[in-house]
Amino acid sequence: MDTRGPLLLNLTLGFVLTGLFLFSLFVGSNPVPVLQALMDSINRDPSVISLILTEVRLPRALIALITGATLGVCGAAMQGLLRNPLASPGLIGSASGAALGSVIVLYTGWSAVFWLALPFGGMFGSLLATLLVYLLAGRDSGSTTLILAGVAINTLALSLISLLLNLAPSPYAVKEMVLWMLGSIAHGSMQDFWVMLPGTLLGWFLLTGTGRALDALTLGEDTATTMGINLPRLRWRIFLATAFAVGSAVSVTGAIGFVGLVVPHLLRPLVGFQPGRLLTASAMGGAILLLAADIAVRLFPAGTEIKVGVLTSLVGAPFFLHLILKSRRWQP
Amino acid sequence: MPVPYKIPVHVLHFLLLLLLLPAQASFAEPPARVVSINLCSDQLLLMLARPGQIASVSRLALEPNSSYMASEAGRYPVNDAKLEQLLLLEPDLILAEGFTSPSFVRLLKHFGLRVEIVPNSFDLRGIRRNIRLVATLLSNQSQGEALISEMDLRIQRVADHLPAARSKAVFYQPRGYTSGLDTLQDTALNHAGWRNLSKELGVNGYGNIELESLLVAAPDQLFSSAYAPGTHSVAQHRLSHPALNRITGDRPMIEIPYRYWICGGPMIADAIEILADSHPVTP
Amino acid sequence: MRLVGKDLHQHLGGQPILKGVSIELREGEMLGLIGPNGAGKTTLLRLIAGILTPPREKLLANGEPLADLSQSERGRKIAYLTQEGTAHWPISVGRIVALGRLPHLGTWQKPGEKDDHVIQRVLNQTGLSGLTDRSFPTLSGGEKARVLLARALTIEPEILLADEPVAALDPSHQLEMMDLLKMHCRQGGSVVVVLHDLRLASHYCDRLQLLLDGKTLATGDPKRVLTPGNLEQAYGIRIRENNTSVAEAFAMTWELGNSRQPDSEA
Repeated sequence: MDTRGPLLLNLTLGFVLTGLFLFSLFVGSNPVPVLQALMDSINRDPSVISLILTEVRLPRALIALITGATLGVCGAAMQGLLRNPLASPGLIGSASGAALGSVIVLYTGWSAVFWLALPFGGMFGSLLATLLVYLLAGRDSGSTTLILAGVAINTLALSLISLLLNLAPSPYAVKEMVLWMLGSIAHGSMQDFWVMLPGTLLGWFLLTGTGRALDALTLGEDTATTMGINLPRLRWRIFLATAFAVGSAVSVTGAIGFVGLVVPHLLRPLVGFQPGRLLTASAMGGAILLLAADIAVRLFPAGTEIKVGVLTSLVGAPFFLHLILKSRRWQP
Repeated sequence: MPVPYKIPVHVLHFLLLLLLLPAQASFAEPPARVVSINLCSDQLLLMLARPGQIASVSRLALEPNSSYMASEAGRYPVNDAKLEQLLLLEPDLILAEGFTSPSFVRLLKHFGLRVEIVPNSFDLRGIRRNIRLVATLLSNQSQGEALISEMDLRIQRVADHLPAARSKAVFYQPRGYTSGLDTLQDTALNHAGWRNLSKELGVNGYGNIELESLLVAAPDQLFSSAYAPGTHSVAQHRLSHPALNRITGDRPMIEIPYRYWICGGPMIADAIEILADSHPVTP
Repeated sequence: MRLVGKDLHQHLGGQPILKGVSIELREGEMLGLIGPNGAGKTTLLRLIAGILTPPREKLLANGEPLADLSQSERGRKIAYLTQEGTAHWPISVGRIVALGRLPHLGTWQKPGEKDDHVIQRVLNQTGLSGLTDRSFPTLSGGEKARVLLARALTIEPEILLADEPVAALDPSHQLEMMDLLKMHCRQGGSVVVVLHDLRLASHYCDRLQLLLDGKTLATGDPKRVLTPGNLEQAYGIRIRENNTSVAEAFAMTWELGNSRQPDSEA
C-alpha cells in the first residue's frame, strides 16, 4: 500500500550517509589528496597520506558511523517499546551506565589485560542502569516518571564516574570527565573500532525483526500480546540489544548525548509514525547526525578541543525542551 | 593558680616570630632552617644544602617518578605548603618556585617569613643560573660550581659523539601535548642531536599538536614522558595509536622518566644521554 | 470455533476475581457478558484472550486446550478489543487497520494481495475507506472506536472479544458498532461482548451471561437472564412501573435513521 514511501526515505538517507562518510575522509587538519592516499594504501605503499587516511580518518568515520547508528536505532527501539518519545539511551540511563561500567574497567587497567573487558564493562553498566530505570519507573510509566527515574540513575552514574576519576591512579583521569559525559570520537583508532564492533553488531542483530512487534505495541501491551507478541521476550531482547550496542559504543566514545532522542523524533513523521519502520531510518539518521557533527568539530580551528558530544547536545537540548513542552500540552 | 584560658600553641609561635622579626632582617649568617615548598626548589635544595640546613621539603619530593632526589628527600620532614605548618617549622628561608601562587608568597611574607623564588628554567643557562642562585642563598657556592661543571662535562661528552645527520623527533604527551620552543625538552633534544619538529611547526612552550599534523611532519622517533607510568586513562591509551607506531617505521615510542626534566636541574644531563643513545642506527 | 471454559478461577493482587466461572461460546454466536462493575467480566475476557493464563485443561477450543496453540496461532484465531483502546503514536487509519494482518505474517513476510484485499473489505464495511490517511488523534471518539474495531476485524478472527466497545459512544455510533459486531457473527465468527447497556445487550446478543462477584448468576436467553429478581440481585435496580414486562423495558425503541444507514453490506 505505501511501501514506496519508506523505501524512498531509506534510499535518500543511505545516499546522504554514503556522501557524508566519504566527505568525512576529506576533512582534517591537513589537506590530503584522498584518491592518491587510497591508491597508496591499496598498493601497500606506507606513505604518510595513506597512513592519515587509513589510520586516522577512516577509523574516526567508522566509529562515528557505528556509534551514531547504534544510538539512533536504540533510541527508536526504546521509544517504540516504552511508547514514549522521551525514552532514549541518554535519558533512561543506558549511556551513563555504560560510561560508568567502562570507567571502572578502563582506569583499573583491566581493559589493558583483556581487550574485550572494556565493551563488557560498558554492556554490563548499561544493562544495569537501564533495568534500574525501568524498574523504578514501572511498566506503563508516563513521561514524567520515566524522566525522573532516568535523572536519578544518570545523576548517580555521573557522580560515581566523577568519584572514580578523582580516585583513579592516573593523573590524566580527572580531566577525562568531559569525555565520558559528553563523548568524543577524536583520535579513535582502528583498534577502538574493532573493540566496539562485536557488541554493536550483536545489538543490531538482536534488534532486527523486532519492527513488527513494535508496530503492534502501538495499540498497547494487552492488544500486542493478543496479536501474538511475546512481550517479556521482546522487552529483554531490546534491553539486551541496547546494552550490547550502546555499551560497546559508549565504552569507546563516551556518552554522546541526544542522538538517540533527536533522530527518531525527526524521522518519525517521515515513516508515518510507525515504530517498526523507524528502526532502519533512525540507524542511518543517527549515523548521519554524528558524522555531520564530527565533520563540524574538525572545522573548528586547530587546537580547539570541542568534543563531538558538545555539538550533538547543543542541537539536542532544545529538542528535549520542545518535547517536554509538547508532552505537557497533550497530557495535562 | 587556675589559668583563665589557654593560648593555642601556634598563636604563641606567631607572637614569638613577631619578636624575632628584627633579628631576622639581617642576612649575615647562612640560613640554618631552610624549607622548600615546591618540587623544583626541593631538587636544588637537596643537591646544594650543607648538612643540617634542610628543615623540610615538599611532599612531592618523596615521589620517585617526579623527584630525582626522592631517596635523599626521605630523610627530612615533609610539608604540604600550608601556612600553619610552615609557621611551626620556624624556617629562616623558604624556597618557592616560579609557579608558586604569588598570593601565597605575599601571605608568607606578611607573616614575616623570608621567601626566595627559584625561577622556572627552560634551558641550560637558566639551570646554571638557578643552581648558582640556590647555592648562594645556602652559602654553598663551591658545591654549586661543582654541579655545573659536572653537568657541562656530561653534555659536552654527548656533543662530541653526535651522529652527523640530525634525525627528526617529536616529544608527544598524553592529550596530544608537545614541547616546542623554550622548553627543557627542546633544550635536551637539541643537545642530544635531534631536530625538534614541534618547534619547527611553530609550537611555543607546551602546546597541542594535531595527530594529522604530527603524521605529516613524519618524525623518525617519538619520545614521551607520561606521568604515573603503569596507570590507565584514555589519554595514555591514545599514545598506543597504531598510526604513531607506523609513522616511525615501527620504532616504538621511547619513554623518558620525567624526573629528569620536570624541573630544571643538572639531571637534564641524564635525559640528554638517553636521547643521544636513541638515535636510529644507520647501517 | 467452539470455546468452553470450565470452573475458571483467577486471583489478581491477592484478591479473588473469578471464583469458578464457566463459559461456553458456539460458532456464529454473540454472547453478552453483563454484570456490575468488578464482577469479573474483563478478567474473563483476558483469560480467553491469553493475557492471563488459566490452567491448561480448563479452557478448551474445539475440545483441545487453548493453551496448546502457539501465541501467534492464538493471535490469528482470537482478537481482543480492549476497553478504552488507543494508538500511542499518531499513525494513520490505514496503517492501524493494516496492523490487524500482523498475526498472519512472518517476521520478514510482506503483506500480500490477500492481506490487502481483507484490509480493503474491512475498511469498506466499517465505512473508513475515506479516512485511511487521517491520523488517529484527529478522529472523533466514534471514528476511533470504529478504527480499533476494524483493526480487530482485519485479523479475521474466529472469536472477537470486545470489552465495553460502546461505553463512550453516542446512540447512533453505539448502534453502528453493535451492527458491525453482529455482522462478524453473520460471517461465521463469534463475539463475546461486555456491555453495560442492557437494552443493547438484550437486543443484539444471542445469549447473555450475568456475572456477579466472580460467579455466574444466570446465563442463557436474554429474556431469561434479565429477570426482575436477577436485576435486583446483581445491579440493585428494579423496573419502575409494575405493569411493564422485562421484554418491554429492554426493547430497542430506536434505530439508525436513513442518513446513517450503511451504504452497502458486504
